[in-house]
Amino acid sequence: MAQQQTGKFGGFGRETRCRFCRDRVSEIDFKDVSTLQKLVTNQGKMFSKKRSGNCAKHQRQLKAAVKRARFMALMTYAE
Amino acid sequence: MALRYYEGLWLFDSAVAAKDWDQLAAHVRAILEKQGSKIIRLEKWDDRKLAYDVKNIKRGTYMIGHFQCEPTGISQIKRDCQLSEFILRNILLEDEDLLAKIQERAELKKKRELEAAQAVADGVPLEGERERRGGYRDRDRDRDRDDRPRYRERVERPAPAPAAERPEE
Repeated sequence: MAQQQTGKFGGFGRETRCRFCRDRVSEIDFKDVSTLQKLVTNQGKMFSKKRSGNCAKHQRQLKAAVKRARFMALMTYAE
Repeated sequence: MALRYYEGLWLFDSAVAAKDWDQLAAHVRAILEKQGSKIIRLEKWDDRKLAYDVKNIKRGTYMIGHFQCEPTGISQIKRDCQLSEFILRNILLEDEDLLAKIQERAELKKKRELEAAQAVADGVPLEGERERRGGYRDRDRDRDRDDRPRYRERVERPAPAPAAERPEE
């Protein structure tokens, strides 16, 4: 028996787990450090897709954005 | 060839930027205009502590620029930026819908500010707050290594029973 899914991310008409899809972001901005900082660990490593909840498209964009932010010294490579 | 939209971000030493910002702005403007680009916007973006030292410099000032340029001219612009002694780091990104994205980002920022104000009014804890208090428990099997507690108290376990006392199988 399938259990009825309830809550924010379960069931019909559910909200997507990807925060960028929810905000309808067409491309992740590498200058938006406060957002990127939420998706990396204290050491500066990126969270996995499972952990961050991002969709594949936005996770790929996030990867590029984090790398750009690191190059511009907005974020750390490693702590 | 058609002009394309570009976004650029340049990093300068804060000490130099504080002294003569106008000169730096003119410097970047000259690099861009040498290749016949049309500048839409060129201004100071932020002054902040750098995430890591760049050429032994700890504080930097960023300049943001939006401009239109021939795709053939961009490699020369990149080269000029590399050779410049004032520019510590620079990034140039080609973007077809740059103007639409600028607007989208501004709207998103406004929306976030509204949400943040609402959250403060409702007394909702900040994102990540729960984690910092140490109450976060992730049951993912493949969780990231950093999520694991760094230190764990050593638990004294009873010594395993001698092999002889185990029932025969």
